[in-house]
Amino acid sequence: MSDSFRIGVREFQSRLMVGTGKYANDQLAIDAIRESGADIVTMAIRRVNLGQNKDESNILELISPDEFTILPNTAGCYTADESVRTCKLARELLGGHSLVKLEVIGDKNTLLPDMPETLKAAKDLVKEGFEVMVYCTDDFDYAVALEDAGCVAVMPLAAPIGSGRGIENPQAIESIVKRIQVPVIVDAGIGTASDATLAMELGCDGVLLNTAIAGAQNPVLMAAAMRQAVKAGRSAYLAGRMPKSDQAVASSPTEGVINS
Amino acid sequence: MKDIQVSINAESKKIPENLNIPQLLNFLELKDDLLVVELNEEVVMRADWETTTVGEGDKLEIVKAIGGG
Repeated sequence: MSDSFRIGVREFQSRLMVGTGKYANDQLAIDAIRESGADIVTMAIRRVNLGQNKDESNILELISPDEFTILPNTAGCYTADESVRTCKLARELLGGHSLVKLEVIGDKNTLLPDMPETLKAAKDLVKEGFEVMVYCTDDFDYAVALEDAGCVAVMPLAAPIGSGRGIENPQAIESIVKRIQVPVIVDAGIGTASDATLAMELGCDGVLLNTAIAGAQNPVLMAAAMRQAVKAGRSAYLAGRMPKSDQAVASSPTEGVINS
Repeated sequence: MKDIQVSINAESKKIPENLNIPQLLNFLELKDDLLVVELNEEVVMRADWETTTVGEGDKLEIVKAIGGG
């Protein structure tokens, strides 16, 4: 059964989106990413090393825009202006591609987003013609403001970047899911498969993660687990869970028990 | 040939004058694919590389994609 979904002008099959950072080498990254089944793959934009080996491989040779939708991020940016500059560089690098992941960080230790600056950057980028998938806190009012600003996906964190703590405030994520019309994707803080499943059970449209796979003992196996976890959570959400009950309710008929 | 002083990725560099972007990348021994060049905070479109010449005091950024989340 196809369960594709749309982000901006593009249609995607996989609801799992993965990063390319922190892998021991590029080959392990591509093996894990292929195993994850992801369509969308994030990358960062950084200065080249001057004096680097001319034959040094480039990640875009291995993880190619021909195979994946590359989602350049603005990781490391602390202001709206820096993030807009980074997105413009990414657009030229990727041949005019307009889909970007906006993140504007407020503090280098918490890596939590600076929401006023994120909202400003989102407005600037939408004006420049970008399709903005925006990393944000799980603050309801900002999620609404970002959708109103024209973002194509709202991406609240589960927990701080790279913390692997799982969804710290499921109620906040659920409130955002119920209100926001564009896809809601939990981005950051996922630690293991059950965290990804919970995000999908809450009604999120997708999950974006990096360290949960790259930082696993066996990244390729964890990539498979995440692929299955996202599918399981999505199916459970669509199936509609049974109501919770305060009391036990017998599964077997109470009539006709022997000795009764 | 005269040298000029420019900033490339926040490093101060002496380069020959009148280089266009492909010549600059060649001078820096960088492969010219899969990277982007920004000159004084404006992206230089690839179609404009040949006709864009680097001048004294220019500020350049040369970037590429790397692994990230």
